[in-house]
Amino acid sequence: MSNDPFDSMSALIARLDAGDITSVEATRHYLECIARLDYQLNAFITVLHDDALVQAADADRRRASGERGALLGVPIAIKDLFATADIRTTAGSRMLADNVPDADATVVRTLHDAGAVLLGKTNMMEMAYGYPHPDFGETANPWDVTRTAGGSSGGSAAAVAAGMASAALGSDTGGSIRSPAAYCGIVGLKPTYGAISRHGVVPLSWSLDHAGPLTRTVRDAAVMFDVLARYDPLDPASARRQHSATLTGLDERVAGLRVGIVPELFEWHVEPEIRRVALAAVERLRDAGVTVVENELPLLRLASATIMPIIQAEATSIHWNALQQRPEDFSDALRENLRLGAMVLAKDYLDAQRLRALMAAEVDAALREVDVLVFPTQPIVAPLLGVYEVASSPEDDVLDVEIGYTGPANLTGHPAISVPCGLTAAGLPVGLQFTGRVFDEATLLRVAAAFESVADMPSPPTL
Amino acid sequence: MTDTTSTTSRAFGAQLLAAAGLHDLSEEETQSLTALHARFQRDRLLIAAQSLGNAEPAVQFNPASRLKDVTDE
Repeated sequence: MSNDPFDSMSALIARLDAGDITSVEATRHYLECIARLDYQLNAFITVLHDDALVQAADADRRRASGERGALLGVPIAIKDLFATADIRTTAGSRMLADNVPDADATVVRTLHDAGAVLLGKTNMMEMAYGYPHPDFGETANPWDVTRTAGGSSGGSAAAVAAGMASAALGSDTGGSIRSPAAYCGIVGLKPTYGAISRHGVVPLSWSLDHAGPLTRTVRDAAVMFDVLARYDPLDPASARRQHSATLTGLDERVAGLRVGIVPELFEWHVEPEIRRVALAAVERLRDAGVTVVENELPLLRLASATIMPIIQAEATSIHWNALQQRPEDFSDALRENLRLGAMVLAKDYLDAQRLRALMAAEVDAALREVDVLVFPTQPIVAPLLGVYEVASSPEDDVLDVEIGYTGPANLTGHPAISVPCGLTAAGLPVGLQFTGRVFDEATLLRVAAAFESVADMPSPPTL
Repeated sequence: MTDTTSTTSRAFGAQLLAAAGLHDLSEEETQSLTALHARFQRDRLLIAAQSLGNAEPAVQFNPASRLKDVTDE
């Protein structure tokens, strides 16, 4: 692990614990980075400035008095759909432009309790759907500012990748944590459905929504997961179970574990450069000591077709009143997609939910033979800003193609993590996605960490 | 030659929009939506063609979990 406190959250925690740096110093560093870089990236909707420094000073006082917390004094950013008491929470929408919640989302409260310093609220696709609202604009990619950071948690991904926050919180309904993490060359974890509370999170699709961390390293993701994973009676989907810590076993050997690659997902829609980098990464995985086998999962190819009627119908149900009363306050793209959701037949929705059950059973069966599954997080590199057709096949919609790769884990509820695995010849990051057994984030993170230790990790971008 | 599929699709789309209470859209909006709907309808036919067997939808209604909440408290 690097000693530079701004290389990773774990390095910062170690330096805070050692007394080498204060939270005020770290917070000031990140605020300066935001001031210097964010005009190019548009990653933040709200920056807390003085309030963040007040939180940091309080953390330093608590630390000086002997108090410890998993994230005491660590400056983080939060996607702007998590409710924050007395701080505007817009979900990247004009509809909620003046929304100031009275109370924190459960996960925001949990982060406060762990001692985290809130730096600001990050930009996102409007209501987490897949298109930016023109009032907020799109977040640019720190690796190439003519390209998107991805979505919907693009602001959180860009903030971490560009060194404007130690870690960030995002949400993932069809890939909204993992996809921007892959495009921005960082780690993104979507935990098992029900592991992390969504109470106080602006919903997009109840049966698919997840919350999770975006971080510089797998270790950082484990730290965040261990803080955030707990039963919350306020979230109807929250799992009533005792979560065991993932951090303690993170460095255990992985020799003997079995990793299943899904060959079709190294071909279907995959750009040649992505395939080259991802296949080389699989070879590195063998170097880590795991056994690599092939798994056929034919239903995964139907992920996009299965997930869309579910998202469309549930999102339209959520936003129906607003759609009727203030349609002009939605962007053209979201308004059209919400109207489209009103055209989903009950049979279409239920067929999709039935196929989803079969897909989950298929993945469960595969994960009885192997410990994790692996395939590229995205088959394409980050698209140019404002482009929604795939460059190599313009008849394909970017969102459909993206969701074909990240949607399976939302549909089946399995935990999945994107880990950077290299750069294309053009210098754009590629992510490798690992999928684990339900509520076995420990094994998933252990394999991801082992891969990270042997992977050709890209250095963070310089802006 | 008349594109009967598209005509049928447009008519079906317009009916769906009306049934959903979206009958006051402009002609342009209606056309755009019905075209988009027809595109997604192809995906839905793919799903309908699967052997779904006895699979129940992955949507749970579980009163027992509420009873558990009460007894735990």
